[in-house]
Amino acid sequence: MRYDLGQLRVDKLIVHELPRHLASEAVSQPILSDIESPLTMEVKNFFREKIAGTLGTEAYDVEFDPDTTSPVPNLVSDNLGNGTTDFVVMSQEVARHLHQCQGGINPEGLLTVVQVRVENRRGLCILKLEKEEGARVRQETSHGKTTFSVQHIRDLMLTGKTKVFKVGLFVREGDGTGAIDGAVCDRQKGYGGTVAYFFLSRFLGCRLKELPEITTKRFLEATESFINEEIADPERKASYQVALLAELNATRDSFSPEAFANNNLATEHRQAFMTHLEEAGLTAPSFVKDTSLVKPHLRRIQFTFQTGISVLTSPDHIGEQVKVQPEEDGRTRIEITDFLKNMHGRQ
Amino acid sequence: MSELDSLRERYITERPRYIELAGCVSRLLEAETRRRGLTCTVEGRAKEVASLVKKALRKSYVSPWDEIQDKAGVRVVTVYQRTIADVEDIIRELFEVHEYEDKRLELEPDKLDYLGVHFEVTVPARHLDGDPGGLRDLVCEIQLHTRAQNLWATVSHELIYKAAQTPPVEVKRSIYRLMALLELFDEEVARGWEHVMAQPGFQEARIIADLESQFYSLTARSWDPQLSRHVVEILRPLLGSTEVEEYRARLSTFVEHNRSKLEAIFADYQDDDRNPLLSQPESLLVFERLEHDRFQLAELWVEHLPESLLRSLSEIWGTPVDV
Repeated sequence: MRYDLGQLRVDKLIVHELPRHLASEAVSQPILSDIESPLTMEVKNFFREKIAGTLGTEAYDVEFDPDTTSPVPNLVSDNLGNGTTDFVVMSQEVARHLHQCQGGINPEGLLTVVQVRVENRRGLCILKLEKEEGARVRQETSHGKTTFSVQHIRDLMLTGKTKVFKVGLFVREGDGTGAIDGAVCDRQKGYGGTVAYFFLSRFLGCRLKELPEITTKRFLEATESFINEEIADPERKASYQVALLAELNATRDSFSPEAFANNNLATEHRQAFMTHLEEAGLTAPSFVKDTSLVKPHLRRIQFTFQTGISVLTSPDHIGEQVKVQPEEDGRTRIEITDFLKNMHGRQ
Repeated sequence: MSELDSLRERYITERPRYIELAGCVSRLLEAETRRRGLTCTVEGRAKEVASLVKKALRKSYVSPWDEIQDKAGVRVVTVYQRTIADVEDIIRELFEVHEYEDKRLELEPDKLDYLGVHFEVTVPARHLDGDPGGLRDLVCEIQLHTRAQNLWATVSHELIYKAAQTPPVEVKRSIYRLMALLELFDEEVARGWEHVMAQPGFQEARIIADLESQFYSLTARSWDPQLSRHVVEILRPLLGSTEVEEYRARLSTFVEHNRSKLEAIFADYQDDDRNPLLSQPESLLVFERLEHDRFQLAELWVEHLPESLLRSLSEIWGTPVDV
């Protein structure tokens, strides 16, 4: 999402309760609110932080799937456009649809629909939350003595440390007829699992805005250009390149550029790296990794020198058999220590 | 009808326009001084009808209506003498200046008297939005002085000019003698300020002073200086070898660029006390660093300060950090 989440403001909010479908019960019904929840500024701020905190660290750019059977795209478009359907009625329809989509494996939950403004544009946020348990402690006086009463609470909605697992944000560009930008986070299962399919596709009626293999290729190219253009120290260059290939070869199906920066780049390079990605159009905090277009590229690292000398090696050998170091005059020294197997002429 | 009666009646008719003019000039000055983080107060008023008549009687004007130029008056009172020059710049930028008088430049070195700065201005059409009130050609007087000068002006006005009878010479002398003390007061305050800024930790103090200026241009919340010193001392390494003046300019650019966003945040969190740093000027330093290098900020922060505070500030700013 290219909008500034620091300029997200909550206008109104409604909550509906969705019970779990139990095999023993013929039909369970959602408990639908008839009116919006009353909100204080503090609660509005709390939700704003939760939404920004989730979508700012882990979210995919999405768009409505034209082939979907979910009613959500039409309801969202209407809400962000002419608004012919009342906010409460619209949210109830979204809740009924979610309840219908859910099977026995989905836990009971709370569907929260939030009308927001982002950079003064109209937006709608849909969150699926789960009830939490906690203990509340209060200082009291009993028979003139100080004590603390402890109460077990089973209907907490969100606590300060809770991460919102499933959230979608849709923002209308310009006036009521502009395109709709979407971002979705599903922390529980990532993109590949069936639960993710359930939330993104079946429930929200969305699909990823860009094919994962294209985004992955763009990320690889942008990161390599950052390493080659912005990093002077050859040892660092090599270690970053090795880290890049290792992370892209890992089995995770979701990739966070910020986590990559935190785990592999020196602190002073991280911000420049993120800026470089932004300039390359990679603004989403995460993307679905699919290396099918770049697989051959991930096996070897090639060092090419000014004189035409090239060294081709597996990333596993860097730092062990192949050592890369800077020289004082700006040149780069590569030391290869290994048993020489053979040599032959080449065109 | 005497000339004085017609002056009186004309002023009664036209006074609402001068009330509007004084309000307009005050609002423009208040907004701009606040935007630049200057510590001062701005007050406007239209002259009372009786005061205008008395002034016309007291002075031998040829054309009292044209010659009495303080029918609308605005007073800007600064805490520090050094702020006077900044406000003068603002007045010249905002208004068309027709008369300018700096009493400090006019007074003989062996004389003691009021030292304020006076302007006579009109409001350019660009600030009048079509000028439905017909204010464009009306003159407003702006008085500019420090709190000490303002105190003297008020006291001398009461005891010398407004007194029912002419005060004795020794009273007049004692009032004028006080002016010497007030000049000393302003100079000592200025010297003290410079001295404090030159103390060890002065860079942090100056950064806090700059943050405070910008903070007050966005919100009027009271803050805890001790907490500011603690946080700024910790975060100072993030600015590297940046000179204070350079950082002041960087901060100013950041605030200008993000003014509406910052104003909205401080308004939304006015009564939300979950994050104590949001009522502190150093929140601007944190937001500025979040915008420009959140990674170095996070790394330094977690060594010294509670992670939850940064997490919350970063979510509010819209660039959540993973701490």
